[in-house]
Amino acid sequence: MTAPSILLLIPIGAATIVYLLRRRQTLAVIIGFLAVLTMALFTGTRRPGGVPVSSVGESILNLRWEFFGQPLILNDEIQATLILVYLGVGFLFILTLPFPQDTIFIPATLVVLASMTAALLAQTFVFGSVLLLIAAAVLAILIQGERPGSTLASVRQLSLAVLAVPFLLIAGWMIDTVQAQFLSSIIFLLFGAIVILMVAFPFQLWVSSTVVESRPLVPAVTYGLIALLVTVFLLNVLIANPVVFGNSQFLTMLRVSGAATLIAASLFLLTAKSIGRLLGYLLLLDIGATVIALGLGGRVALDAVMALIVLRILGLILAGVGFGLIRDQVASSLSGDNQLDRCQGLAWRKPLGLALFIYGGLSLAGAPLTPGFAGRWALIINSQSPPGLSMVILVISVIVGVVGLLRFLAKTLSKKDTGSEVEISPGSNASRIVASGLLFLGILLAFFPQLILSLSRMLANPF
Amino acid sequence: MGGIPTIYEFLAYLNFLRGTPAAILVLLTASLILVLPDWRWLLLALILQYLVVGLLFADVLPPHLAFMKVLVGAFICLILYITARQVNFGRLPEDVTEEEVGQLEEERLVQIGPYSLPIELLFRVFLALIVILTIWAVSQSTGFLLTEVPEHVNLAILSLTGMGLVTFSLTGEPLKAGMGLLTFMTGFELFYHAIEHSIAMLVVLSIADLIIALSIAYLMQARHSFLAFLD
Repeated sequence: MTAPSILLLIPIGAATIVYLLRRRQTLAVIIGFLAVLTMALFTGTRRPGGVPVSSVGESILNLRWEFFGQPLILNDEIQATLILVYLGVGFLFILTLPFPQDTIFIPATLVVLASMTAALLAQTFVFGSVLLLIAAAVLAILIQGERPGSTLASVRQLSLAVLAVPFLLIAGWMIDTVQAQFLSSIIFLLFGAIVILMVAFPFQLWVSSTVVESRPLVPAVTYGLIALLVTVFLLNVLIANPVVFGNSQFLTMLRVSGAATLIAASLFLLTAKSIGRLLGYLLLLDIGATVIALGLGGRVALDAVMALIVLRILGLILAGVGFGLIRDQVASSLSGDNQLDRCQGLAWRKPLGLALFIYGGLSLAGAPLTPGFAGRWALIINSQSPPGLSMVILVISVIVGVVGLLRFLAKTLSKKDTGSEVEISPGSNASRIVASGLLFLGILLAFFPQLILSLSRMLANPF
Repeated sequence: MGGIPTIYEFLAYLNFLRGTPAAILVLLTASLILVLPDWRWLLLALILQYLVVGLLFADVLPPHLAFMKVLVGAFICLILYITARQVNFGRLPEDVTEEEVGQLEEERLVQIGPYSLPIELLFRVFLALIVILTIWAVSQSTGFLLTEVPEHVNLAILSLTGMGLVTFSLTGEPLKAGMGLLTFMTGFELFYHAIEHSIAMLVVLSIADLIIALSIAYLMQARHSFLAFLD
């Protein structure tokens, strides 16, 4: 057995077992958690530089595996990221005990994880790109869950992935055949692939639909942990092609796309009519900031992008859990659309859920006194001096994000109740304790951001 | 004498279809996928498309690999057909009441002579004609000629990617959008396998096609389940 094959077989095997046992939630969580923990341990048995930690590791873990002549190698750049993502997924699995998700959540996440791991282990990025497409196809199932009705978000997610892959494959072919005369085409193709995969402008429209239509913890997987793996995949591609990553036209295009994402998200945010959409647009603010960070280029970009995405994962978990707690109070239909007008008095009915949602949302917007602020601050101080237009837009977008959330908060504080359409569900003690713990963790990390920034630097350092 | 014909013999039988006729047939099937509303006809158009594309793949790949692409296409159609049957080909359940039917938006019709035709069908036919004209014009232009492939394959690639793109952009309905995605992917693969002769890429792209089909099948179930109808 080789390390790469183990990292692919464990999640697929566990996903099969969990799917068969999906009605037994606790058992499914235990198996899912053990699977990702084992994957983290296997990945961790390898020291940077390619030396296994022990002789046992050396005999068990051959770090190279070939699939039809395509090498899959566990190397330095991705080791820390994989461990973080595996542990993060394990944490989300445990969260499904107090905050139940669809029964397909754990098996689908494990299959996506296997495919994304393979994409990162692949040594040629054209091969990795197709594995990315396979992950996206399973991600569409994860987004849909077991909800009958609209499939728009899932279909669009799948469409975007299908659209991105040709960009990557043709760029890869041009690079492999050293067609230097096509540099501008390569730049255009890679830019196209990046904005599609990072769902930045002009492909940002479906983020809010995904948040509205999926279960509350799904965005933390899709736009948090899996987005981190996708970003690392793209960074690997860019670092292997310094002609592109150092090209000023390419970087300017990224910054413009990021700024346009921020502007679009800000405009939508001020007119959002449902909680799901509000969260979706806050997430878009963070995506816009990440694309701007990537557009800075060089070492600065790596540090800032990693910091922003790690903090985004935290923000999405906080806001997602909060969203899950308040969603049943305002849900108007099976499609999960929540009208803000139904939120009056919500603050008095679900204070903890609302606090988590607001705090997570503020973190995604990058507001001060939240964990997300550290990412925005790192981005601003690392940008060129004097700050460009994109930085001005970034600062304004933070303010708009805060205003949008305060507008929502004001509605929830209003004591006038809209009627008794929805019964107040008390919620379990376990969910209250876990939610309080998460809120405390969020506040703690806001005041000690170096904890999370040093983690993100650890992820960026191997590049 | 007798026995199962080899792939080469099959290709010899179908020689009259190879080249430009195959490319034009592919343009036709991709247009039918864009236009037709009935799922059974859509599935028939898709299987026909995979069979004809197999002939085009044989122009850029060794015949046994082209045959593998046809097999993958057949499996995709099988997956979609079984799912379509399970959800009654997207039609309303047979035991649905008139009151429940009343909740649904009525299809808008337009009268043309003695015929009443759905407005959406006319729109799609009009759009398909525009796309066909555009594809034809583009395929004749030297600026858009893909130098790595023969001229008729160039036409097929433009037809499949163009029609596929328009089909999946126009609808969120999983089967129709999914067929658009698969058509787009087929067009792209026809180009990509002409420039990159890697077996690993061929295998992994075929696996990706199958998983996309499974994903579409799952979404079809979600969209057309009885609960979705009530919603």
